[in-house]
Amino acid sequence: MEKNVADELSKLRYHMKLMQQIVFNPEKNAFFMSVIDYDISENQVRAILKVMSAFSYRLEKKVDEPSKNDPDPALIQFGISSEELYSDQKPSLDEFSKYLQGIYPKSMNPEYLLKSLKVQSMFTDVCEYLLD
Amino acid sequence: MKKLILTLTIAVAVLVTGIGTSLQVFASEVEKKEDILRKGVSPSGTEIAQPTYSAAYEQQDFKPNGWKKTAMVYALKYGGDYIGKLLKILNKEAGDYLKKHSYEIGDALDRFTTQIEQNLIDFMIHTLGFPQWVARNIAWAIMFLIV
Repeated sequence: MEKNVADELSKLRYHMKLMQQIVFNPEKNAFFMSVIDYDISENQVRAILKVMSAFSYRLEKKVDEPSKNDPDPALIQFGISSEELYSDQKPSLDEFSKYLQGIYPKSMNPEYLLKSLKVQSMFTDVCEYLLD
Repeated sequence: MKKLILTLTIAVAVLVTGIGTSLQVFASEVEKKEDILRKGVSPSGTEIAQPTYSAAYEQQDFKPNGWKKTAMVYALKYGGDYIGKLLKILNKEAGDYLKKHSYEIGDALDRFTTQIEQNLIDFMIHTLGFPQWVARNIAWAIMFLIV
């Protein structure tokens, strides 16, 4: 099967899976709505959530320490190194925008994406910090 | 005696040539496969799709990471870092359901070895009585962290 067709099929199946959650509660699944609206793939979703997870660690340092040296396949394919992502600096909206641009090169407002994550109560503290 | 020596020599020569050829063919096949994986391009030149996590998982050639699943089971049953990670990506209402029934979900996750996501959804809906979207949200989040 050609790569493009296979990719599109995988994405459709993934979007259907998200739709099964959205259909019962569209207001509370704003991030999944954005994923479908912007035609974001599963691998891109994983990468976005990995970035948020790293930011969460950098802000709180409560959860277990991630391994900076282990290359993360979910991030490598978008040119993001774990070492850079887990720096000691506090994260910022600019940094998030930069990673988002690498993951999803089409035009998307990073603030809106953060707001949709917040509505879905995903990484609420990180979203609030970045949007502040 | 001469005949015997001649026969033996021919046999050894045939054997060595055969092994040599097989090794060459094997090496070139391995090289081809590595090349395909590296470039995502088949010998005929068409691009090969790199499977997504879901697609690969459904094809049963990408199983949940063993230690991650075990860590998740223990976290759900007895508490741990994974609970914090789960709550960060779960809808708040779904998180409340999870907190109330984390032991049962952990126990169920421990039992399931195939079709884990589907089995978890069914378990949460039909045994624990969770709303559909809550069950799907929790199963999605668990799979996100263990695959």
